[in-house]
Amino acid sequence: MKSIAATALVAMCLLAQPAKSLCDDAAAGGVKVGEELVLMADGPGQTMRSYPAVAFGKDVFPVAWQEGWQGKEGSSRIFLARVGLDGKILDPKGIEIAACKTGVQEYPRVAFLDGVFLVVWNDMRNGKDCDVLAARVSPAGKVLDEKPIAVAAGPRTQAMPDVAADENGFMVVWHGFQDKDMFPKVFAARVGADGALGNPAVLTAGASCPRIAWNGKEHLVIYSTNRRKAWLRMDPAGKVVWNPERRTWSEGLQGDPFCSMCGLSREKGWAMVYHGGQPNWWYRALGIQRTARITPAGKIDAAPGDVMGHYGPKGGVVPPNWLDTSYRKKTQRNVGGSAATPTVFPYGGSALAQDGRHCVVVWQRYYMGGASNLELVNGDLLASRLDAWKPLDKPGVPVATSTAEEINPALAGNGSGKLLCVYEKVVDGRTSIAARTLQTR
Amino acid sequence: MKRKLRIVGAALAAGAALWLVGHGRAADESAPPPSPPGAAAATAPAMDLDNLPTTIFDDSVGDWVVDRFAGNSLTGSVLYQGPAREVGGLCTAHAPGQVVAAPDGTVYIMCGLSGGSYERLVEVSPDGTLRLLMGEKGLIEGPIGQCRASRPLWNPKENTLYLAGLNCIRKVVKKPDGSSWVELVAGIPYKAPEPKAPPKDGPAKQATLQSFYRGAVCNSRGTIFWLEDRGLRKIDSGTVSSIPLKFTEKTYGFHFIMRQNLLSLGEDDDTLYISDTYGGGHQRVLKCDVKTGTLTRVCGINTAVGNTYKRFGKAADGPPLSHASENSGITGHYDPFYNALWINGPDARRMRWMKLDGDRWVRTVMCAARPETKPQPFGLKELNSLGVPGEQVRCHYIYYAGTDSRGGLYLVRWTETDGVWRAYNKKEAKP
Repeated sequence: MKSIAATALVAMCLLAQPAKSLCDDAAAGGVKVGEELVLMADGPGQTMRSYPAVAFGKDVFPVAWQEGWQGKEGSSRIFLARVGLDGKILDPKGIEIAACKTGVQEYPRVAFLDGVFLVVWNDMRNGKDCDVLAARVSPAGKVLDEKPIAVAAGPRTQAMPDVAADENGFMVVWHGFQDKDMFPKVFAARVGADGALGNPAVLTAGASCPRIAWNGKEHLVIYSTNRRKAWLRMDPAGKVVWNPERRTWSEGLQGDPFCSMCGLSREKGWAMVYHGGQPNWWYRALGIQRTARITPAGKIDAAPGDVMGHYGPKGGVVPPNWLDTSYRKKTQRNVGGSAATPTVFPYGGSALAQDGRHCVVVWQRYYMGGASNLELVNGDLLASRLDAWKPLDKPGVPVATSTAEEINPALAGNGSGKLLCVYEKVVDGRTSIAARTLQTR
Repeated sequence: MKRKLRIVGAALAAGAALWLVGHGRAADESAPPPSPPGAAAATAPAMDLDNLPTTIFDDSVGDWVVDRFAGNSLTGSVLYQGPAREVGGLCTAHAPGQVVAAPDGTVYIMCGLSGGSYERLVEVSPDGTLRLLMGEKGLIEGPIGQCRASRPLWNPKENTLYLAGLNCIRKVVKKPDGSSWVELVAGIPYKAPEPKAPPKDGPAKQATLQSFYRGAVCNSRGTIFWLEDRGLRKIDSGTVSSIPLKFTEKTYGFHFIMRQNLLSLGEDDDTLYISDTYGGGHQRVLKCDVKTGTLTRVCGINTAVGNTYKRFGKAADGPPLSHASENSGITGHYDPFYNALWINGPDARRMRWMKLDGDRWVRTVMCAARPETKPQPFGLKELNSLGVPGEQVRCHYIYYAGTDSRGGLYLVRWTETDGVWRAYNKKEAKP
């Protein structure tokens, strides 16, 4: 009976267009990918736009991004456009969040709570150092704070914010330097849905680039240190409840990979996705995008056999939590080899969001090629549902796999199977912010 | 019979041009060390050349100071804006950054991943503010912020920043309104030479240039030299031409590994130093006379002529052609301020140099403490501090990244996003 059904399905795929999409869905596993949308292609940023972020609330996905060049002589600004559940762009001309005459704004993040979105970003309008600013936006697309909320605007660098919502309001985390400190600290401050700013608290010292996720009971804050990523647990009052100074291998990550996470539940903890090593000249590095669950106690729960080495998985068997890997795919040799055989190399950013039943991950994969054979080229995005750390849609559902660079994904879900994935799309050096709806089963 | 080298404290008699001065033998770029004079042997402590220690300290070792220049060991791998010592992301693993200092004190730092991905060019202004100048995506020509980064190259004749890479050379010009604009100078962007054909010379914008080139420098006449896997080329007066090379050893051609910063301008406009990094007959620093194309080994044990093989492939100091070597490949970069070649390599743990106005021995200058020096604790704090004594620095995989005209030597560590240090001799250079 099964073989008859499969034969019928193949026949439908070959003969009819409507059946083709059915076939694609069947091949794609549990994620259906919508058409590509381009947000504000003709904005003031000309050919430069970067770092999309997205959240969900009140039936809209607010997509925030950096419009324009953030470096010297740049004037990048944070823009936002809403996308409806039906995939329609509601603000085709975008909404500028915090107009100003000088400096640059970069790295936006966004969250939703109690009928408002909070956008946070790095702001360097003084031309010397970054501050952390925020502004609230209504689901109707109105900026509620004419003057941005100065979350951290003291002297020296205050940067790389992230935001999550919990039962008491928004919790903003960032890293900053105080007084004559040599190293940064990670801070947290409460911002209410009414825009009220709480007092900042130091979460940990000697750490940077925090990311935060709420699991219904506690926040997990993951941060970078010199040669590892570590994390802490924080209660809704902003009190650190777990951040051991000495850690076992299961309480941190080697290196400083790009990392995404989302809360699962208070019983299950958090899901996390991170990449392996970068390509190197001794062709020892392994491209990996892999998953883990952080338990409510703060330990890594990953697949057996997932080791941190660069030479290959233990026993030569790809662990089931590796979403994607270059292992056992053609090895790229040293410089001088052929550039005609690019090799898959999963590396870089990823994004996680809840669909109501599972976590969904979108990850980035490159090919190796270019002038040195070791350049990462033609970034693509793939997706899978996760059951804790276990991928359900291996080897991944293609989300954006054109010959253009499709990189830096962000993802949000409505909790009922609808998600929006936004990403940078680079064609001939020109970047746009693109989006696709994802529908899970 | 063992050769003995005697160390003498004063100058020797006239006519002994190849005899010993100071700690080693006199300058000679091709011959093995000569036997020492008998007169010196009677008065100086003996040094057994066959059993030289691998670390021989330079007299200046106590005078070197290392400052954190840009980047912070704990600021992650993303932020590229603000006070230079508070940013992260500089000089990531396996792709040592390249540092170019302009005469006005502005420093350009290139960083990215191995193989050329995620390349970003940042600028540190004299007041210590770091700004992203160009990112990893963008156009070839246009406003600088819309253009893709490639490696910095300073043109002293035009006092202009050039950009090398992506199969081309570009330059940054200032518009009347003060904005910066990137223009193509030579090469065809993203078009590499045909794999088995010679690179195409001719009018600059019709010539093909290797994208993952091995080094580029510009002399005071504005001539750009461009090192590729298959040879050396120059860009002069709007024309690209290949320089016919004459190897003076049986080992022809180059064998480069890993990196792009393998070429430096020498004592004059027509002298280059090329780091032919890796492999048995290679692993040498070559001096190139660009007028004749002649390449002469100046550092690195030449095992083909029976020299001390037991030191080959180790971080060994001593006479440059018979005893000096480096682990996993050797590099040499000329520093005009000190008239020295910085000797380094991919696995280096010490900074060493070969002074060209002395006996030309390779000696250790930094990152190793003399026996009489009590080592100080060295950790993250010291790694990010100012004024750290050079001999107290302990750093694996430390690598030369560039120099400036004030006697500064820029160092990076090529396994961590640890940023950039600036070392200088406190008796001779400026902080």
